[in-house]
Amino acid sequence: MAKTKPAPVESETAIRVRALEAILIEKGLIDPKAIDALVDTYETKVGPRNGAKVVARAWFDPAYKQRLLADATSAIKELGFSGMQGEDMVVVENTDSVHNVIVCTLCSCYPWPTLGLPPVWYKSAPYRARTVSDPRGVLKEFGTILPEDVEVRVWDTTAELRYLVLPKRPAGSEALGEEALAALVTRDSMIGVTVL
Amino acid sequence: MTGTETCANGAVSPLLSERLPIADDPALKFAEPWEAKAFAIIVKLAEDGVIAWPDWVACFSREVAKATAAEARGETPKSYYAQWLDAAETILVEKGVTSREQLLARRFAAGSVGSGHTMA
Repeated sequence: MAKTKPAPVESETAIRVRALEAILIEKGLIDPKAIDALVDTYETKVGPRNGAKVVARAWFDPAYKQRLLADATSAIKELGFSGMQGEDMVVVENTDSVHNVIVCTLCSCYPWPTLGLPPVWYKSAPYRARTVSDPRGVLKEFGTILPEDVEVRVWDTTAELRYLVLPKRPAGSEALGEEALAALVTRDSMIGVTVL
Repeated sequence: MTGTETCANGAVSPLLSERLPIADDPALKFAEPWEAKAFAIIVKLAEDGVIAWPDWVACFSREVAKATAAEARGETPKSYYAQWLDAAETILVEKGVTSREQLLARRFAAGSVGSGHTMA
């Protein structure tokens, strides 16, 4: 079991990172200010609210939904969110007969521009292994029980392709505007482990 | 648990029975500043074209596979960002940006006491 221990002044790991950073700065490969700005972006600006706006727009505007399903990279860019590594986005739509779940079996590839950084469980070995071998069992742990006749599709994210689930619009949300719709969308529903 | 569930190599795979760590941090901030820095260094180098993202994913995946194998053996795997840092050093050495010797020398210069911590 992991024991809690008092934090040292600077851990060996922190020193390793500082050493690596110093070498890269010396070689002119990174600018410390750019590194700080990037950390700030990921800590405060990029997150599942971005994805929720994409989903709400798709629910609200059928033409946008069509563009999103045909070319997600461009449609997501329309809202100002774009890939950091130029990877392509694919949006997979949940329907009455199909439910989609995303995973990265090899590491932790994740649609950063729309969801931010992945949760701990997404990166965990059990999730990476079991989403493929037993997707319904995984969904059940999130409290998601789907009818037997719904097909569960698992999408394995790669370096080049990142998936985002377009959840089913909740019943009773017909009268809501785009902003109110976005407030209904959760991170987990866009990973596909829950439904709305 | 009957102990008869085995994976291909004959070893029991705890990965297939373990529950998911669902109760995680909602804020998803980095736990320590070095994690954020290690993450940002790689993302920035990829953005600037110093390393190709697919090369990074391949390198990082190897570290993740090592940690997954350790976890399957019942050992405590390295943390996610420790795996990330190992992969970061490896890819930068592989690309000729730095060397193991330079990394080690710089660590000592940066105050490492080198208390039995070997190069990853």
